[in-house]
Order: sequence, then C-alpha cells, then structure tokens
Amino acid sequence: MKNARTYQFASKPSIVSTAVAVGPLEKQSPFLPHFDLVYDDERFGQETNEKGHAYLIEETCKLAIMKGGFQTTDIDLLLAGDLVNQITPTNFAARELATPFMGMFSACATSISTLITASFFLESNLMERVLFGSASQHNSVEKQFRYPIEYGAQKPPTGQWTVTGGGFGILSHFQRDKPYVHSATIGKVVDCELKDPLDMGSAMAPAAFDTIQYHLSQNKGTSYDFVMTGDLGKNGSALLQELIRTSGVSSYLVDQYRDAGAEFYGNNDKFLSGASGAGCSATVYFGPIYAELLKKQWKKILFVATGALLSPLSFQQGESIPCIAHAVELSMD
Amino acid sequence: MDAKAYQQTVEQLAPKRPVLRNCLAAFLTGGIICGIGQIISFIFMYFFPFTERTSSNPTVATMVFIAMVLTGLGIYKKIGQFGGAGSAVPVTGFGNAVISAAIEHKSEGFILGVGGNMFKLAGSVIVYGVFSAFVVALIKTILVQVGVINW
Amino acid sequence: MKKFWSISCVLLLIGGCSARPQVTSYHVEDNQQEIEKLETVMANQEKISEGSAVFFNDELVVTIQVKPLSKFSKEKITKSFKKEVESIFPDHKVFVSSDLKISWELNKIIEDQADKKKVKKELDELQALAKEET
Repeated sequence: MKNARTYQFASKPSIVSTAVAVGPLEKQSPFLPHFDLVYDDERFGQETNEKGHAYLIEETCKLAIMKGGFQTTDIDLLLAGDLVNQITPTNFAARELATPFMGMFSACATSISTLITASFFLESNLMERVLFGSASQHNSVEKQFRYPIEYGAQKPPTGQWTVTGGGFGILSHFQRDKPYVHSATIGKVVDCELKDPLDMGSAMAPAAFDTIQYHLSQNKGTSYDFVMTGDLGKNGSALLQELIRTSGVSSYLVDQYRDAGAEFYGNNDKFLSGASGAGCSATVYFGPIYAELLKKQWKKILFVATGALLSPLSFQQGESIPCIAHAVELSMD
Repeated sequence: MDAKAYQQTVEQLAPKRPVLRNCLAAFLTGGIICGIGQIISFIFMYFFPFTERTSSNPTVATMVFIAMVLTGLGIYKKIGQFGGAGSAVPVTGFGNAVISAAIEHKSEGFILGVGGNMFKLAGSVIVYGVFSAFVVALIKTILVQVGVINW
Repeated sequence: MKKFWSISCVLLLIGGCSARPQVTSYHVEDNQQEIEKLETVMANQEKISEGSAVFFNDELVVTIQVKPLSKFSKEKITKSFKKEVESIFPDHKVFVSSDLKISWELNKIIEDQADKKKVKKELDELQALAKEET
C-alpha cells in the first residue's frame, strides 16, 4: 500500500508511567495540579539556561522511571528530543541517564513522534520498556529561534510563549488499567507557503488538518471523546476548525476539539495566542490528560502534536515554514 | 491543500491589529522618552557648563544608562510590548538591543560571547547608518563641486 | 467627552501660536542710542522670541532665542540676524549666538552688572564656551 501512514497496534502497548516537570511561570497554568515537579528557578539551579534544560530532561526522565517502579538499567531505549541546536540538552541528559539513546527531532511534535516510534519497537516485541517524550525551556529556545530575552520587540497577537517544561513516559507491554496506544498516523510535511515565524499557528494548522483527515479516513466509525492538538494556539485552532468546517470532515469533531497550547496558560492575554514548544504538548498530554485517562474519565482520545520545521537561518533566507503533525490514538478500556 | 486559498483564509481569520491604539501607544511612549531626554538635557545645561550643542553627548549617555538599568531589570521589554516603535526608535531602543544581546551571550564568555554577539541586533543600524551618511556626504560633495549648493 | 477634547485641542493650538513680543534686556557701558538701534532691529524680527545684548567697548555680544516653529532654520536666522547687526554696527566686533545656555549665561552677566574687568573676562569665557564642539 502506497504511503501507508496509519498503523494499528494489535499488541496494545501501554504507557505504564509518566512524569511532568515545569518551571516557575507555568504555575499560572490551570493544569498545575497534574504537574509532578514545579521548579521555582527557570534555570533549575544551573549556571546556564542550556544546562538547566538538560537538567529538566534528566530529572523528569528519572521521575518517570521511579514512578514506574523501574531502574535506569531497565530502560531499553530513550527516545527524546527538544528544540535547541543539535538537541544538545537531550544529549547531555542522555549522558547522565546512561541508557541506550536515539535523539529525535520533530520540533514541537516530538512528544508524539517519539511515542509512535516507541510503539513500533514494542509492537515488534524486540524491546520491553522504552522511555519517550520531549521538553523545552523558554530562554534556550528564544535564544535559538528569536531575540534575546530582554529585547523590547513588540510581539503580535499571533505570537506564542514557549513553555518551560518536560513530559516523559515509559511505554511497555499491555497492562490492564493503563492507557494504551491503539493506532497512530505518521505525518507528512505540509507547507502552505506562510513565512511569518511569529504566527506559527497558522502555518501548522494545515498539517494538523491533513493528519486528522487521513487518520479519520482510516478509522471510520471510531468515536473520540475529543481531539487535542499540541500547540496551535488560539489563532491556529480557529483556523483548524475553519478547515474542518469547510471540508465536511466528521463535523462532530468541531465541538470536541481542544488545543493544549490555547489552554495551557488559561485565558491570560499576556501569553498572546497561547503556549508552544516541545514541552507544551508533552506536559499536557502526559500530565493532566493521562491522569484523566487513568481515572477512566475518557475512553478514546486522539492526540495530534504539531511542529514547525523551520530554523532561524531558513527564515532569514526567505523560506516558508514547512510543518508536520503526528497523531496517536490513546484508549482506556 | 491550495496554498493561495489557505492564505486567504488565514488573512480573514487573523486577529485584528488595533492600529490606532498601537499608533497612540507608540506616540505616547516615544514622546515621553524624548520628553525625559529633553529634561535631562536641560539639567545638564543648567547645572553644568554644557551648551545646547554639547549637552547632547551626556544626554545620550544618560539615556543609554537608563535603558541599561531598565533592560537589566526586565522592565524595558514590558515598555516595548506596550509602546512598540515608540520604545524601539529612540536611542534607548538601540541601547536595549545591544544590552539585551550582551546579557544573553554572557554564558559563552566575554570575548566570543559578549564581544562577538553584542551587536547582533544593532549591527545593521550601525552599518547602514554609516553607509547612508557616506552616501549623503558624497552626494553633497558632488553638488557643492558642481555649484548647486553651498556648504 | 469628544467636545471637551476638541475644544481643548483648539485652545492649545491657539495658545501655542501666540506672537509674543521681543523681550530685550541689556547691560550697557554708556550710549543709549546704540541700545535703541539694536532694539529696533530686534523688534523687526518675526522669528525671534527673545533677545539679550551686552555692549562692551567695541564688542557686541547678542544672544537670541528662536521661536519653536522656526527652530528648523535656526542657523539661517542666526546668520542673517548677525549680518543685519553687523551692518548697523560696522565698527563693533559682533558675536551672535542662538544657543540656550549662552542666553542664560548672558542674562546672568547682565544681572550681575559687574565692573569692567570682570565683564571682559566673563564675555571671553562665554565666547569660548560657545565655540566648544564636544
């Protein structure tokens, strides 16, 4: 079958434990009760922002391992990534964790791309426990992609705030009473020739729409409690809903539609269009939503994490912003 | 997905920018900053032997110093978010650009980090400022030689 | 609310455009005639709002303050004014400045009304200050 993008996981690999850690500004989030670690220092006591970023990843991974009742040596593979050049914070954290490691980059969709890849390894039965997830730290990402933190440039209403936070989980064989991965769709790069890096929601919405549409076409008849995108923000969500509405794709989804970025900081205008970053989708998916799945509040949710695959150089060279969206269907019986 | 059609949808659904409010905010912010600069200029002229012509130097230095303090305390970016161009255009905006870049890159050391990256944002201001001054001076020299205008 | 703002805007504009008369103050060694000659020259200038002058032997130090709206052509006005004064007083060494600080300093000298030697020194210092570039 050409370009088969949707896969069903018959072995139902389960997310057996998760851990979420955030920085000081994220205390303003309505999801706060479900964050395991909340730090008062955005650098986590380290000398530089990048060192703090690595520390965040390391501590969150260690907590996920501990909550699962495992040792670091039980982990067959660490699949993780972040937004910084050459994903160095993840590399440095992997050095400390000393597990087999493969770094992955899908921008802000890394939380789900690592989960999908982990699901394949579990499905093949070649691995027992895979640690997956992603993180972001506001200052490091701003330094990487935008302006110095203290620079007084005026941000437009479509701008988003990069979350300081990390979400990681351990995927293992099927366990009753744990949410499991039922199906997943791998994204394709979608580029609608938008060029504004301060309006990534608009650029990512078509990619989210493409993946959602494909996934639903392969899973006809499945009903979802809701679809949650990673970080389209208020602006991008409105565009996605418009695309869904005009295309006639399962219109009932328009009501049961949420976005982690738009909800992350509540209705605070200070954060403009909402939250973004690799940590945004990871902290919300593997924190509050996972907890609600565990409590059997939901039965089936479609997570669609979106990523903008640009670099500061590509933008300066006048390139448009190619985007991607990966989807995972998490179920709880 | 048709790129052109989607771009039109983006423009239709884009959050409306409050242009009038932004212009007013920029006007107020820029005006207040320049007003403060004028007061500082008068202070230098009144208490020290500076003339109108020579007081501009210490005034600019003082304004940049104030911008440095505000940038370091994290206040200048709040003024910038409110005032937009009103805070970016005066010399305090230039100071903020240089100082924020210097703070940001301290982690890479003083020579390569601070020294090498300090003018990351303000560099183009300097380059094109000097270049345009050169061009204007050249044009004026030619015009004077031809006899159209006098020095 | 709108009415209040529109009326106050109009009033502010009118207030800013008022033509204030020349205020001249001077310190003189002797010679009432010379003072009057200078006064008439100044009174004819539309673009100048204030002026001060000190006569000392054959030196004439004048400072003027240009009206705000004409500040763009301050240099031109100063030059043309200097030419006019020089034509009226051909045997005097004329120094004209439109700098605010120089005006303040000259007014101080006028109020002081010091003796000849001090005035000479002060005037020389004033002219040196006006020549400073940095």
